[in-house]
Amino acid sequence: MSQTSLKDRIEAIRVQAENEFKAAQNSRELYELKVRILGKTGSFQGIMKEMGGMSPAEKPVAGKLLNEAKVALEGLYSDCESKLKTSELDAKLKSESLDLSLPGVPTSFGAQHPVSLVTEEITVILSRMGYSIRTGPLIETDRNNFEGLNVPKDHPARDMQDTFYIDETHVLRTHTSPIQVRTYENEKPPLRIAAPGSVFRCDSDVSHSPNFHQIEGICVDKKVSMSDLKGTVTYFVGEFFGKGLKTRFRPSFFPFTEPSAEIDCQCAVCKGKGCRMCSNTGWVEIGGSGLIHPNVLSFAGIDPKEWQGFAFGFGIERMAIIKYGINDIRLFSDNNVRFLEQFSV
Amino acid sequence: MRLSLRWLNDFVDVKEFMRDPQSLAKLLTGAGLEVEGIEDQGKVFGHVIVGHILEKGKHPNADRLSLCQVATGDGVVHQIVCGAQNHNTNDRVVVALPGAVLPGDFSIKHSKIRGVESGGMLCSEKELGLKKEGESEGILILPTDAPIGKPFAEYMGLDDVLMDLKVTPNRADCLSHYGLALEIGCLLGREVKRPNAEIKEGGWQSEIGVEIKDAELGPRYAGRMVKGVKVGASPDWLRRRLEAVGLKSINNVVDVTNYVMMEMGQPLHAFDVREIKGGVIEVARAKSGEAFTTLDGTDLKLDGTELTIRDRERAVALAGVIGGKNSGVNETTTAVFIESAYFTPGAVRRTMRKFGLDTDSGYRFARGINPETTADVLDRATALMIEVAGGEASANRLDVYPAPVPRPEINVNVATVEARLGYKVEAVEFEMWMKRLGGELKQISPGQYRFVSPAHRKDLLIEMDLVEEFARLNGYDKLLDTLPSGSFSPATHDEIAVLQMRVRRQLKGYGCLEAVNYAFTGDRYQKEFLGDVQKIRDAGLLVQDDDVRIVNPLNEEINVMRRSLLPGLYRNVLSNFRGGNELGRLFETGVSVHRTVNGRSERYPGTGFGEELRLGFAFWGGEVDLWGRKEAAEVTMILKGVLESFWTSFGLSSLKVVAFESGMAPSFLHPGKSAVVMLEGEPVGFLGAVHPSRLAQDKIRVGVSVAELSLEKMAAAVKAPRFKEVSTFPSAERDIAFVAGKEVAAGAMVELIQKTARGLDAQGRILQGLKVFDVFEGASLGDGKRSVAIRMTFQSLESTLSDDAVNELKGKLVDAVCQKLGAVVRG
Repeated sequence: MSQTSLKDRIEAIRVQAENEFKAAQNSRELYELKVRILGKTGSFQGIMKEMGGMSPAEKPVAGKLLNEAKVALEGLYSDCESKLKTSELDAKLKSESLDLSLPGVPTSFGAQHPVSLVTEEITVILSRMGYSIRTGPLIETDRNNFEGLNVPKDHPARDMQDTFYIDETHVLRTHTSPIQVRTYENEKPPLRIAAPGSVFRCDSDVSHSPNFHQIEGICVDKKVSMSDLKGTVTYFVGEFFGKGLKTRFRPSFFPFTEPSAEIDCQCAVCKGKGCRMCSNTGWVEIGGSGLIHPNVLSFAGIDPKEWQGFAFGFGIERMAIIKYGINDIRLFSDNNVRFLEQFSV
Repeated sequence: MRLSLRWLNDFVDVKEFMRDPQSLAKLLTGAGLEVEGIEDQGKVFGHVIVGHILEKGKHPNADRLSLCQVATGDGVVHQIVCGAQNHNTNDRVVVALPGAVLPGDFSIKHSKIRGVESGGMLCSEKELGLKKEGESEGILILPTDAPIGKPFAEYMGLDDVLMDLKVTPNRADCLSHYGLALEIGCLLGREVKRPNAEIKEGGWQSEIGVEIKDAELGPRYAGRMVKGVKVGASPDWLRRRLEAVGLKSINNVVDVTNYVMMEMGQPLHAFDVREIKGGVIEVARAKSGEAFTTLDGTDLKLDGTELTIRDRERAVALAGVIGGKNSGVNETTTAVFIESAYFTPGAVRRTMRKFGLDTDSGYRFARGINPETTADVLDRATALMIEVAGGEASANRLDVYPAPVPRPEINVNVATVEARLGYKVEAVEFEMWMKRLGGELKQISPGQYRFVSPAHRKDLLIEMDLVEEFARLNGYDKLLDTLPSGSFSPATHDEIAVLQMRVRRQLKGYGCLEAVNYAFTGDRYQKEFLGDVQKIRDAGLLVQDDDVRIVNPLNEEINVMRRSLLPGLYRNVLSNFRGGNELGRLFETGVSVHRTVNGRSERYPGTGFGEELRLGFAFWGGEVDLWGRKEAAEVTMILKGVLESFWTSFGLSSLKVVAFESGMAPSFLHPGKSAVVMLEGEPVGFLGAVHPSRLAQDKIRVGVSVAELSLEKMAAAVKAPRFKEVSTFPSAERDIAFVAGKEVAAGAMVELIQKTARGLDAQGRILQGLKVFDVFEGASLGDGKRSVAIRMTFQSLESTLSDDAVNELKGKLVDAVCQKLGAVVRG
């Protein structure tokens, strides 16, 4: 076997392979060519086998020739491959598309009821001011619901609260204030508590539900004034409805506070300009407040000469109505899916 | 309280507010008397004018109609067609011009009547709303001196302004016109006049005497006899005022008592003297078992605790609440005995409440009237009675008042006022307001005073009351916006509140919508829905056989406390489904109510009632989306998926769902598609599909599943997350399909594999995951057989696992399932 002929054969394979590589239509065809020429059973492998029978002088020469040809072909292969891959990718990108205006694969979302949503928002704000949450039972004693709050039997203030009775001495709590009475039994002032909960009145019409929700804040300390109460409420209103809304106090009467005040705030919907929500007055009534009546503190064994306090309370549904523009109190108990979904905030 | 500005003007000058009622409303609201509505009568009679008939002619096309030319002082002659017969040329009449809207929303417009233009209407009293149907015929003819062109309202004195005041229970003094005059006088610093009380007296003595037998409940009683009254209709002015403030006119005698009550706040009563047996009025408690019939015919049985007004034989009135049928005034009455008294508020209130009576009189007594003006008001009533009903009064006025009610004396310090309000208070300002209140103010030392409350202000008892009075009168707008300067000790929230917040947040994350239902429901519905509650108790919830009932429910739909969240949630499903919402994922966290069980300690002690915090679910409708990823899976499995995610992320990985034993599922559940939820061997609730017959009955065409869990029991077992090392070596997976009888639960296979692996200690520990990924039933498997495909994931913390190690463990686990559960590995 002559040197020349081996060289020619290698060259012939190389030239043919070069032409075929260049002519390949796609990367798969190219890869198959590569396997046919450079692979384990490829053309070059056949020559490698022949080299086993060569003399020690011939072997390195033949090896060198073979290797040079392989390196050249491999280089060519990767050039061709990257060209083909690029054009193939271009073609793929041109052919593929996604209509992103279609809805995505849905992930169902949930929502809290506006009552718990508002309650939690309020407690978060009050927590920042040092108020901690206290709770109480739905069925309360007459003592906790009325007597401890300066509403003795036969007091006309009981008319203000149409009460559901369970028996002679137990009522469905008409307000969250009995939580105050319970707290005084277990804790000593100074105190700052937030008392949310479900309350009951036998009263039902377009704007009243027999089972609704309230939250009240209580602060008992050595030196507490109406101005402190007003400042606290003003800060709260700014946090809850948005900064810059003014609050206004109006004289009122609650048996457990003296002085007592209704809290109005500038309408969150129209920012005080006047709209349907506020009957064009620019103001909406959001709750009641006052300095804790000395009789309430005395009843709880707290000396009203040493300690004073203030209390403020809001109707949760009322706050939600103002904040979200809800127009019908019945929506709160219907639990309609299309209503609830709107509060996924 | 309905306030007439004209009436008020009798006592305090409020003329400027007749045209500007808003300013008065602002003043009153700012002082704590909220004005809830204003009715301007003058506006009701806009475009209604006194006119003069210049000429009454015949309508060319109708015999029964007249054609009038009418002047109304505006220089225009109005041609008006009129159907009445009683008017003539030169009459003064009431003309409603176009633009007027008469009572009953009757708009007056230009029109053509039988081909003739008519520019208005001549009005009858009926059309003006002054008389009722049938009471008057023809149009209203005014006196000849009625000024042409004057607005009719002004001419008739109908230009009153009425205000509805919300009077808080502490301000009984504001339940009358005179009382409100005092308040407005105080606010504006104006003089307040008293009404006329000059009495025409006869030279004779009262035939009726007065004896107080119970001075505790009836401290003061005054009365006077009037003879020669003529019972009849009240004069127009009196009737109109009563009607304006919402009272019906009855007759002149009764009207006077009502009128003076609305004027002075002192309820009065008039007895027919003929009916007072024995010539004496007694103020005494009822006899036990005594029968009494009220003026309006209600029969009552008295128990002896009620304060009554009696003659020598019987009760003639329930003191302060209502008179008796036996002694009222009628058309034949000629002599009356007028009562003006002071009864203690509690006594009147108890009587009212006991019999469910609500009268204007009782309302005022129960809130506390002025005990010092009893006799003065009697004089006023006597004078007015004689003015409108004739007759003369006895020479003597009876007034029994054995122990005068003391006026509270209050020590008040300006420094305290300042401290409680939180702003600077000047002593002169304080003095001014206290004096305007009508009490007596004595300075004891600089800044220190003694205040004697005015008799009409029953609500001023302690220093804080005066702090409020000063703040109110001086204006709440003077308050500053400061924050409390004191210290407070940090405290934690009540656990239950925090727990509920966590639950809501997590379930919201799993796509659930929160429902909030009433804590009460209807007894019949609840009983019918829950069925045999023993089964619910067995599933771990505290549900008693009996309801906790409301004594005075609004209606039968809400007469008991809920024992379960599910009746409410299921109602939500119905209303949603019927409203077109065919898919929903609702949850609710709230309490059920029960009576305290012996020895059980409740979260809130002291009431005899307990609450269990629950978590309820109601899911309905299957999910099929555009991408077809979620097929219409059984909604119960969707619910179970949410529950598993929820309790795992909640820190409760040890919860297990176990099928109900036969006959143990609550009756509202599908017995084959429901299960009890177990926590460390204890049941804590259940889940399952709603019974198909229930759905059929309610015409629900989609699957509905519910769950109810005791959140309290679950919360007690919550564990905080504990770090577990994460392997960095490759994992290996093996999928095995077991064929076994359908009755073999997939859960039992999973549990057995886990248990077996645990029993193998270190070797078993490389089993890192187990997942059922396919369930298949088909004829090829044989009758009653099912294939359950389980993917096992193996991974070691120390090294890359060899195939041998994985296969060895897999072999042991598969053998266990095959041997213990009678399964075979599917080819």
